[in-house]
Amino acid sequence: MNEIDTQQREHTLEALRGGLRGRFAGAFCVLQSSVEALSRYLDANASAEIRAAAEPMLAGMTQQIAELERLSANAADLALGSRGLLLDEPRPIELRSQLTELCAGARQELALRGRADAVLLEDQNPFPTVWALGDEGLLACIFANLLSNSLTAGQAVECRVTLYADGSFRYTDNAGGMDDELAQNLLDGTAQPAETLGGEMGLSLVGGYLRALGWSSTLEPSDAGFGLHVHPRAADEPVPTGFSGPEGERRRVSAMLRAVLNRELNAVLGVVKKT
Amino acid sequence: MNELPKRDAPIRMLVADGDSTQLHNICLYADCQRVVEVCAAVSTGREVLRLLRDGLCPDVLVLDSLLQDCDFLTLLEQINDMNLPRRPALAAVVRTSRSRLCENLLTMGVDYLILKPYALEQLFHTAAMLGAQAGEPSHAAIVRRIHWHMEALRADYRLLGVDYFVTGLREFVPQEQSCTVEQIYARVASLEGVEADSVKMAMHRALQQLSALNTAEYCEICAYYGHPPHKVLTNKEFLLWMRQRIRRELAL
Repeated sequence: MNEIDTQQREHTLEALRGGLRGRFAGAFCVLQSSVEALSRYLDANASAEIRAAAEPMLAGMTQQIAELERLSANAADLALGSRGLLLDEPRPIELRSQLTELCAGARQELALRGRADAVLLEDQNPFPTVWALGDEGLLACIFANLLSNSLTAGQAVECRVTLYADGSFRYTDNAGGMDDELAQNLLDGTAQPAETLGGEMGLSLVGGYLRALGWSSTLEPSDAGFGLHVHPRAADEPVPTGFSGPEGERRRVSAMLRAVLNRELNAVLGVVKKT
Repeated sequence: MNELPKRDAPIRMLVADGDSTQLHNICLYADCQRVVEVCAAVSTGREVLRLLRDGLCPDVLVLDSLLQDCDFLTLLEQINDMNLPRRPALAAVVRTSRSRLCENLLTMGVDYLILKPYALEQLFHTAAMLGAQAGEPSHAAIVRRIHWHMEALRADYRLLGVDYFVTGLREFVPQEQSCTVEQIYARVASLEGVEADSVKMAMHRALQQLSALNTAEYCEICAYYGHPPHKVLTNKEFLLWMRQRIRRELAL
């Protein structure tokens, strides 16, 4: 077994506690599992009549839990502020593989929900790898919030992530967009979601995640909607890990990041019903 | 029709979680499925160590990373230092997807990370995937390979058809002689308590989803049959390819 040094150990133990978000995650896990176990138990043991009576209630509870879970996670992140979001120092991550994975995960989730939206990755970067100083989890949070903002704005939305030669990327949609000044204030943290109509929490969070990573951004609306150009901090190529690492490790990371995406989409578009 | 073999013992999971309600949930869920058996459900790291020292041999350990009586990293070290005759696969349940944390845990011998809040279905699928060790091609090794391929295909456990494929393959792969797809529908239907037609249709829906995802693994299956990459495979094509591949991988 490889030992980890004392400082890393302290970081790891701290991270395991997960802070406010971690507490919520633990509580929601028990709630969600109770509903799931009960549902399974009824499927296996109850009469058709009892199952029919219980099913809509359990489905309603599942959906409510999903919405509360997202709300609590977002509230925890807002309460933490950008400083508290990133306990570890940013580290080199390979942007192309991560964005590819996130777009693929989003397409899968949308297909499961029967949505006709498109999530496209346009790769204009000629280099084999694109390294940035960042954090895989926070990048997933940025993507998930931008996507859920787009999806709540309309049906059959087209979201596009363009990766440029300079290592920056731009997220655009055709969902109509929002007021530029408000969007900028939310991103900068000078306007709080509570001061607005309440539907812009996602952009406030995105601003917080970007500040936590030390990444800059500029609003660049598309012709038909919202657009955000993100400029990550560049990094040198490190020893491959995560999405750039071996297949097994990539899968493990992928499963984690898809959980972040699911949390947003379960709340915004509904929990996928097993069919 | 060939007589389908009886199912071997399920994969044995030791689960540790400090929340007694969660342990109850996991045990209740386990009682309603056949793939994974909860051989022990405990609330402390001390109990995990005691059971392992006393000779309990689970196939997989699912450990919550916040157990009240111990520091998780120390617990991992102690498990690693036990030199168990057959090391169980180890899944850690964490509350954050922070990349440095994930890296450290993987470095310390954790095989898989499960992010809270998780779906129990996901927990059990992960346990089934991890639960068997390499070596003698046992029933558990077959289950592991099935789940491994399903993951490579990005098959989503929220699709009933994926469950049916897993159930069908668990029955179908160990058989030396092939059987018809209708026999598989009937077998899965009897195990799952549904109609054979429902199995057939659910499997087809799952394949539609898999074709849309167009993973490298899916393209490989299409190429094997000389189909273009996006073609929706028939249930029979998919089952046959999976059976053939897994039998070859396990030298059955």
